[in-house]
Amino acid sequence: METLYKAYKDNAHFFLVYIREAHPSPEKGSPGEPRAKEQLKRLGDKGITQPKTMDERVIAADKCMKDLKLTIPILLDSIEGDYLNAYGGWPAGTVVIDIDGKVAYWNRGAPNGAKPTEAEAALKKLLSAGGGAIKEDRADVKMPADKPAATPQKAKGSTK
Amino acid sequence: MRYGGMTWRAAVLSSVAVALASAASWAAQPDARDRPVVKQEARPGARPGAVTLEPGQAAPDVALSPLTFAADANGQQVGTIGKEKVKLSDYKGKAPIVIFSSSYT
Repeated sequence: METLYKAYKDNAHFFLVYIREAHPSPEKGSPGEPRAKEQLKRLGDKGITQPKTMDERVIAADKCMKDLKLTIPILLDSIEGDYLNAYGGWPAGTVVIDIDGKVAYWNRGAPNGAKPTEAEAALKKLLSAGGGAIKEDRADVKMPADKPAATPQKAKGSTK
Repeated sequence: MRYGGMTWRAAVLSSVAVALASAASWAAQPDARDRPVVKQEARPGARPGAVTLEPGQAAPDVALSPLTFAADANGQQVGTIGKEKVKLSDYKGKAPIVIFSSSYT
């Protein structure tokens, strides 16, 4: 994901839509707590319960972005799941949309996992057909990348 | 005939007995009996097969809040909800869009 973003960010808009947690930490006393704890022994417990508010989702996304040192712009799915309602998919779902607003590639994602080579092939095909480079200023997307001094990696002195 | 009839009746009675035993067992479990009915939030992620997109179809338009950053009192960059939502249709005619969906867990 990050590799694709860094390779093609000048030619396409990239977003990571932060969706509902797939394997959240169980809430204490919840009916599914024992089973979830058992499952998280395998997957690793990151201490994130399922967000019930957008503020909680922000905290989870912020932790994800910083821990994984992500630089890709992040959009937050609503608690009601507007994105998932429209695009479906599991975590690692991928969609490539062409310049006319049509789906060029869609992959459901997990449990089969992301297929970045397929997404890259679809993107390359679009670009070779005249997708072109991003010419306009991305001021319409208020992402940290638009303000270099405010980006987490810049603050840490990264040169990425 | 009589033998067959008895078998049929026995099967029906046996099924009823099993159902009653199951109901009694469920009622005897405080956890199950007292468990509140929790209204599920809209979560198509739980039924990912419900949505399938095909190449060539119009991409659904959604408007989502971006994760932005601002300095807190200690000067640390912390995530906040961007004021202006990002609408996918706003990119139509500009450049392709690549979207990954994921969560940390």
